[in-house]
Amino acid sequence: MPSEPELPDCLRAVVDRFMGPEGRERIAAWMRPPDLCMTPAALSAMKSTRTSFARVLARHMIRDRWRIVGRHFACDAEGDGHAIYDITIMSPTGPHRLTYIARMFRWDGVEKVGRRSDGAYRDMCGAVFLGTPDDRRIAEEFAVLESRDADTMRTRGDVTGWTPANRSARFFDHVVDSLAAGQQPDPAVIGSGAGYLLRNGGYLGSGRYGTLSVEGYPAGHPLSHPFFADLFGLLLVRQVSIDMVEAIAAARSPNAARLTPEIARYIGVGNSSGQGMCVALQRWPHWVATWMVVRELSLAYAKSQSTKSQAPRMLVLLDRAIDYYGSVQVPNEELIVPHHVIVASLRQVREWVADLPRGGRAMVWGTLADRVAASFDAETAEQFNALLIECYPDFADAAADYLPIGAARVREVQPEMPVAALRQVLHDRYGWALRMDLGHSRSRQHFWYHSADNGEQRRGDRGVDPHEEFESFIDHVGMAQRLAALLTAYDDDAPVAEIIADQPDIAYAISRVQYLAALPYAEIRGNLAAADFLPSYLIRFFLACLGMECGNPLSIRYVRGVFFQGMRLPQEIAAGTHDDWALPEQPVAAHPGIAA
Amino acid sequence: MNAIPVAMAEIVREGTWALRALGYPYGTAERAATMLAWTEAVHGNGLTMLRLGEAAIAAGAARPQPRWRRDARGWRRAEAAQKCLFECGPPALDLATADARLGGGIGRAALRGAIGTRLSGALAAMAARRGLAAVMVQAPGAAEIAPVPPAGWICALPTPDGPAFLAGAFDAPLPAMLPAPLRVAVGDIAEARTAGEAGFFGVTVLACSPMAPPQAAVDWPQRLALAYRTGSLADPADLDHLYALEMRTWAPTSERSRAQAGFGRF
Repeated sequence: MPSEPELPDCLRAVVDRFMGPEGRERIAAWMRPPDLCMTPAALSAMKSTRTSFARVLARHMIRDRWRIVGRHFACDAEGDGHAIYDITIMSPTGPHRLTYIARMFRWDGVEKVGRRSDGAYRDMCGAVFLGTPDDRRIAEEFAVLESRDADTMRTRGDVTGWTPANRSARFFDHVVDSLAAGQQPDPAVIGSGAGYLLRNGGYLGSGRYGTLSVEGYPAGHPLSHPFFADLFGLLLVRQVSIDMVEAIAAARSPNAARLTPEIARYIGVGNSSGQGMCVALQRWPHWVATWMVVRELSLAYAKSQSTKSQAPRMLVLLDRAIDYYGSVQVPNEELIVPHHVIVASLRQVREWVADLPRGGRAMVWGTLADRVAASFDAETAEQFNALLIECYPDFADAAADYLPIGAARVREVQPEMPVAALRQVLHDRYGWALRMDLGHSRSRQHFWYHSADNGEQRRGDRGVDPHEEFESFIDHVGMAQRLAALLTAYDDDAPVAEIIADQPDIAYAISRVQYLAALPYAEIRGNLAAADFLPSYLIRFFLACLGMECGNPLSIRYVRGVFFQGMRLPQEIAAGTHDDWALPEQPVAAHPGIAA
Repeated sequence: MNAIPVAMAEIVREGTWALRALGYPYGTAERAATMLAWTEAVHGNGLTMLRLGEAAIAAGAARPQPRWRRDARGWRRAEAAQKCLFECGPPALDLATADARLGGGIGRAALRGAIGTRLSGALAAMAARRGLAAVMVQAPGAAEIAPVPPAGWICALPTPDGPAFLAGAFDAPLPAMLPAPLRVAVGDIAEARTAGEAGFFGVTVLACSPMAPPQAAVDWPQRLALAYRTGSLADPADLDHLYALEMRTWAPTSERSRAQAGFGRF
């Protein structure tokens, strides 16, 4: 069995810095093999960690004391209005300014899902500008957002992206009604709706509709990091939701209350995502490899540490996680481990941690993690793993510095590679794929396609549904098997360029195999085309890597959850508060009838 | 025409699907889309070429792949039969690259009868990304897609600051600073001059160390960077066409299709 490739240099240096050169072997012993952690089911169980992008962005924001200041916020009692925020960032690369505008629309009584097929008809939409645009440019952009017509909306490269969102009406109304009555909303009600008032569905950036391309950010810009622009737009939707409920309540009642900071912090921002995420993960496999190696390395480091360190911290985190899972409800528990089960399991784990020997022989966290994995479901185990990573923040933060480096990797074919060498790489790294029998019934049942409904990604049945010839790439197993078969038709010493000359499209497969060969955790070990593959597996994984909590499949193809719940408020971020905010405890409800 | 800014990432994303609509499989289209974006950003009219050349590109995509052979000097040659450089340009560069890297000298590949010679610069950039010095020679043939680019040569040179480009017409001599082995490209120029209606595309590459930036370098890297920052100005008709091509790859909606979307119960 070939061993996994070595860590990238940058991560090896992190290991050396924290553990010395002998640490490489210690940490390698705790790295999980891809066969164990790269299957769709295993990936589905993974939880947001300190190395998830939302957490990394939050850390950067707090470290650099980003200032988010409302310049203008006006909306009427129905929520129709405009907002402008100024953002100032004193980053290590110098000062940067951003401007955020949001157009909030009058509530029309229709709860919107936020699918791509529904176009741009949403309850609000925000846009982030690089720099400080003049009033004319802001008015121009407001006019674009005003149209809510996806077919005609278009912007320019001074906008990083648009973040649309819809109300989660029941919970939004509860908060507005409470504030208008001069009271605080009930946190338990907010928690029963997974903790958000506005829910985003999609980010329209990275060139879409004329927005700035990722490569177009100025060097060293704070948003020139994978997913930072997307997630910052999302965080600002959360801020709009907080400001919006207060403004609507104020418009309805002169005696309206404002949210207490505890409850405002408890409000996150929702997100719903669909099957297109599976396609994105297959299109950018080096992203997956990067996220996974950072996560797995951080976990392996934590596992290699003695339980004598950080046991009290682990108890605090377990208490928070138990409270969180016990208080936040999700709408559908059919495809996940129910929260009450996770709570019960984490309580047992808490007892184990509390009973850890304080003295005597050292035990490493990995031993306990193995016990958790053997005793409970995968989601409990992964939540415990996420808490373990949290216990060693310095290492995780250092490892997370690799996220932009790994994502910047460029796929380029090596045309001079001899056929025999490529065959060896294929057998070493894709043995799992070559062993899959695609002749089995329903092993290639599905394909992904874009629908005429605004290009929404959908999953069809091969041979039945139309436009299979335009399927999106998801079939890396079939790709590997086709390549392996093709290689048998050429001399061992022929350069792969000769294969490409005969079949130009095979350049993709060849370059993919070549550029992933040096990366650990490079491919998802599963067949996405198979009948038994659930898209929600990978949607949940992607969202957890972004930083979503409570990723909840409402169907096998659609996942909802919450971001930034517990995240510090703008004034706290500007003051450089601590970044220990994830999995917030539910605030205590104010006494009914007592105005805040 | 009121030009409209188009993001580079937008061209790559939508271009991949647009090129698939013209008949390219995924692996070909995703490689070609970066050439399309580069061309639009640096030379302009990349999207126009896609619009005006739609039929010719699609017809070429349906034809068999060129059969490559080595000539008496060991250089790679093929008849493109009016296939576009979107499709047969990268393999030509791959063959030349392989020969240069394996042989320790130059690699050469030539195509007759290819269309899409506007993409020569993008192929030079691809060579530069590989750390190669390259000379591309292009002479549009009678079947070339409008707007027809001028015949001439393009040099891509690795420098410590990234690739530098020089370009000239056939009457202009190849740059003096060009590494000596690449001077054999004058043979391509001679052949291109006499290619007539068939047209000619030749690539000569050499693995070499970075060299000092040339004084007369053209501003293509700056144009590219600007396009990434602010977008590339394009004819709205071209952008509409890009999206129209993409939409051809979208399956018609139906009740069954809507049931295959994300939201809903199983």
